Amino acid sequence: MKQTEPLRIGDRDYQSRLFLGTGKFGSYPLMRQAVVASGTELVTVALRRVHLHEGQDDVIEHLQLPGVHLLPNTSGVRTAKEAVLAAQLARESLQTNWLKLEIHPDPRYLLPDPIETVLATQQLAKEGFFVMAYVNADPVLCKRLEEAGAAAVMPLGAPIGSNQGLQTRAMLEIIIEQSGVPVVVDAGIGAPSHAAEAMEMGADAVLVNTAIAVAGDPVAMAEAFRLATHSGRMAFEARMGSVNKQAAASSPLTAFLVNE
Amino acid sequence: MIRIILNDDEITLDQGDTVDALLQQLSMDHPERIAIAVNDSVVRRSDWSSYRLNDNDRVLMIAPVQGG
Repeated sequence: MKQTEPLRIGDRDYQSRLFLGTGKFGSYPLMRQAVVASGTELVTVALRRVHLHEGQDDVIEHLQLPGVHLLPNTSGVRTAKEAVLAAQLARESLQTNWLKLEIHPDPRYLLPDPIETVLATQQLAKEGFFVMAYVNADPVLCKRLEEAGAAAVMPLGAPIGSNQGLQTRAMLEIIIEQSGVPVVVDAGIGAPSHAAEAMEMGADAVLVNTAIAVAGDPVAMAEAFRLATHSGRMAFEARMGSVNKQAAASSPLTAFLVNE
Repeated sequence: MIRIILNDDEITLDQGDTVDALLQQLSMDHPERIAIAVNDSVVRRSDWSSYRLNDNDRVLMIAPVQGG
């Protein structure tokens, strides 16, 4: 397959523009196979309190693959203060400065809190984190996050896990046009065609989890997303033709059967 | 004896016990992935052997899990 331009975020270049969440997979081996099939170089993990009465099975062992980096998230925090502590713990646990910052206090729609997200980004950027901030598809907010020191913005296509696709398309277009940092469309991407659509629009990457993890065959779906993401990026780099109201002939319209 | 709150559990330790002693008491698996905060401040791994816990300390112990 033709290579596309590498994506630089923070101090790292990514050849794959598909980032993968590791939640909801039925088993660790299935998760690992899907990660491999997706071709991803960046996978998210969450952090949870250790339950003392349960055995610990280490998810990280199953994600140790060549070229695959970890992106801890702050899922479960409700405020900037909690997010900063979660980030510091993530750095200690996984020895990485990379962070997916997500602060969503509302359990029904899991929509991110913009004010807390900006406050946390300011603090964490000062502490040397590469903050990838999960936010609603708000172009003004994305610029504010950029100013606050975010390494990338991650606007949502639709609520987390909803598989609704790019419901926020019009706002994503503005974000992509204006952003000085990479734009990773996160959340809501439910089908490979949604990933391709985001990439064709010029998104720098997509982050997918539920659509792959809950598919009938997650490994095959991971491959489908790999192809769609790559295909969408290739199309973007190849510069698509414009959309026109009127027809524009693809074949010569000169006289053929009838001499006029 | 001192009592600490570890996540949601109350734990009894000896006076002067360190974070390392707490982990040994719990026979924790995969300690290399664990991160610990005491009273909302991270205690670096390199300090586990010297950091002494006090009565009523709130210890937060986290580990990575699957997630998006």
